[in-house]
Amino acid sequence: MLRLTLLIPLLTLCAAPALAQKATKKVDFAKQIWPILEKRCIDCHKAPYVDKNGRKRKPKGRVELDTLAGIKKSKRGKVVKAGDADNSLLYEVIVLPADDEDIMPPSKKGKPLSKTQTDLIKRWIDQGANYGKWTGEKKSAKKTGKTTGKDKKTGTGDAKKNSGGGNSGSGKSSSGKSGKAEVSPLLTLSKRLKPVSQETLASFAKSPFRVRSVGDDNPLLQVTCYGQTDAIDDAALEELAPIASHIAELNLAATQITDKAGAAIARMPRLVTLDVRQTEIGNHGVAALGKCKELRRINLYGTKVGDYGLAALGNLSHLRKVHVWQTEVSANAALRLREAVPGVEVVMAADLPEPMADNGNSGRRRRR
Amino acid sequence: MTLRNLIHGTDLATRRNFLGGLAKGALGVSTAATFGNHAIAQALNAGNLTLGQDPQDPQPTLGRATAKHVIFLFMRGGMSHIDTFDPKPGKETGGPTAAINTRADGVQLGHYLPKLADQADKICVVNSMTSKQGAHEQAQYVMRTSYEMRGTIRHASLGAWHHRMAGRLNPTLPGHVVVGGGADLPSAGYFPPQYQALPIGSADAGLQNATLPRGVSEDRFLRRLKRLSKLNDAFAERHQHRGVKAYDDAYDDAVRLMRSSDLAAFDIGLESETIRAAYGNTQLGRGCLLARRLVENGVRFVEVMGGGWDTHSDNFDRLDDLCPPLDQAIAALLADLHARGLLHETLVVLATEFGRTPDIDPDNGRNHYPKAFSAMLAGGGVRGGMRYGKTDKEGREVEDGAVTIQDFNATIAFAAGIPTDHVVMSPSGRPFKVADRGDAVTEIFA
Repeated sequence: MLRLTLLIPLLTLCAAPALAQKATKKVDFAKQIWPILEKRCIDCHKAPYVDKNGRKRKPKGRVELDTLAGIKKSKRGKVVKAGDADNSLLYEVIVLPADDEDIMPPSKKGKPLSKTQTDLIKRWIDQGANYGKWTGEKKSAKKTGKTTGKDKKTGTGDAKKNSGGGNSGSGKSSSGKSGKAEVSPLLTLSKRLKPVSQETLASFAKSPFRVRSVGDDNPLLQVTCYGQTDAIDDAALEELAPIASHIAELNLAATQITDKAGAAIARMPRLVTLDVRQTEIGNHGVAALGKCKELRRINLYGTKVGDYGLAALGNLSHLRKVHVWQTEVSANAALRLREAVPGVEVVMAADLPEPMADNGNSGRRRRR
Repeated sequence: MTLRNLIHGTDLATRRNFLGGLAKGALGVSTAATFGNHAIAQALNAGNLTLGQDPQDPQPTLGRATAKHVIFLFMRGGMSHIDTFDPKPGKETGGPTAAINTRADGVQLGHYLPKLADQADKICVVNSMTSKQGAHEQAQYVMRTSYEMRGTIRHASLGAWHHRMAGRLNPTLPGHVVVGGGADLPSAGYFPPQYQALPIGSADAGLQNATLPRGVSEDRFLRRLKRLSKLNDAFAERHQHRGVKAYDDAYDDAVRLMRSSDLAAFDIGLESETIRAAYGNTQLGRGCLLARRLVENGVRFVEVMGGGWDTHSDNFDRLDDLCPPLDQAIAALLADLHARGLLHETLVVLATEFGRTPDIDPDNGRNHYPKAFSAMLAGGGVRGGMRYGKTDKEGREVEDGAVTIQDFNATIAFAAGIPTDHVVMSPSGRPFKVADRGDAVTEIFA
């Protein structure tokens, strides 16, 4: 009974906001929301910049609110989850009790937002978090400029994404990096993609495959089969058919698959990463992958693939990296793939260090 | 009206919200943004919440991370930053250590690490580590847990956090393994005991006692197990405690592993002579090779311990002994992971509890120096060929981009997709986060 009494206030607490929200007037972000953010949040939550003392200032808690891109990119969970204020960090932290240590703005920065303000933000998010024309970019252009300048000082090295071959890039290349930062394919590919039903996902509980989200509540899926590699052959891949359209990462390393698996994999239009290392898959299986247009990385290390199979990857325009160590692939074929897909890195060999002179056998090395 | 009726009287969606909200309020999960109350509600609805199970176990939403695994090379004793990753040639504090160019522009290493220099296009050197803890045990504790040592609690180590938050990838293998440790194993702390690391004393010996003893047939083994569970069941029935359950689970896990082909993951003897030689026939080399095999088979977190870096005297002679095995092992590890296509999904960390004094003692020693030191990260989405932060000309003070141990651990967590603001309550009701109040250094990611 004691528990029950305790629970009732909790219940009402949960239910109350659900009833209270039904305001209909559309909220204008630029006119109504942005001024609140600008006044109360942006001081601490803006893109990294260098202050007048030359110190690098990072956004507090990695949350950036001054640009649309900043709001969206937060890795700290959904800052704004359109249509769902209660699960949006932005809303959640402004309605905490005033004495909660996580409340925003923090108590030392002044009073909490007023009920009118928090309700307005809630309404805006619940209405779908429409930003209108606002992107916040004009301001950030200057800031990013500054940041990159600073980056040159801190990150002395080359900032190239592909760390494969020798780094030829000069310091200049770092200034280009903010421009070329590619939006993650996982974000673009998941747009308007309905998640797989819970029933379908649950049906994999007993399968040798482990199926989970690629992260961040993304409807795209990651499929692995560690520890079950003996159970997975070409036929087993048929099990993946109901979720084929959602698979973005597929790891079939060291399984029993052969060339025939190519056909099943080719039916995964959103496949971004494929790992079939140390399997029997060969030219024909790999040739079928030409249909997976979104592939970025393919791991073919220790497979039966050769030049013919590699050539078929030439029409994958997004391809970034292919691993073909310990295969029949020739240097010429790798070169041709690089010509066909500019920027692709083909990893052909292991750049292992020379063994130690004494192979580490003697306990102590000689003294000078 | 019982609570049960109250809950079941509402429709499904409301019930879920209610339970989700209840979990938020009653279990103290205040930052549910990353947690997803949906998951909690689901777990509660499914009736999974039995005694012995931790209600916080439903996993939080992981970030989009590229690092599925972490290999943490822990150089115990305090590695001299000036002689390894932060050389100061020509300065008095630099000593006789020369700086060598590497494959990456702008990254220089001490001359003790020539082979790593050839792999520098894959590494990010952090030159701005800083801490306040200058005693070995305490500093190692902070490095592993992000919290100061306290008499009243054992904190969970980073490996335990990773294991718990990300879950096992391979259901047969342990989620978290420590290679080459002694008695000072990292701990699962206040986490349920199943998150404790599996210790492997020597990489060469692999996993000990994993086969049936001589003269014990499979049949006999089964009978023994049955008898054991008969004895245990009554006790487990009477004492429904998560510790008891974890004990049983450990047995089940062990038996599953004994029968699995994944056991081969522990056997570095299966590697070719070329590969073994490339890693070096040293404790660290074998440890790194085992770490690679484990990661290949889906283990989340492997800590490889190295030791002997406490060079209070004869620092430079000692480094002549200490560095080559490290240089060899880590260069091979990076090259090997890269060729196998595993570097992208494996974060390799090289860390130590503190640096060593810039001033050199009369007997050529360097002493404890937490104020400024270095660490290294590679793979797992980290940009290669770069340096982050810097110290002054003599390696005394961090001049730019200070990274505390908490920040460093938050960076590792970030790479692995573990939300750094996710709060887990200890059984005693104290809130903890994976990296305390650390902020991840996100600039180093590609």
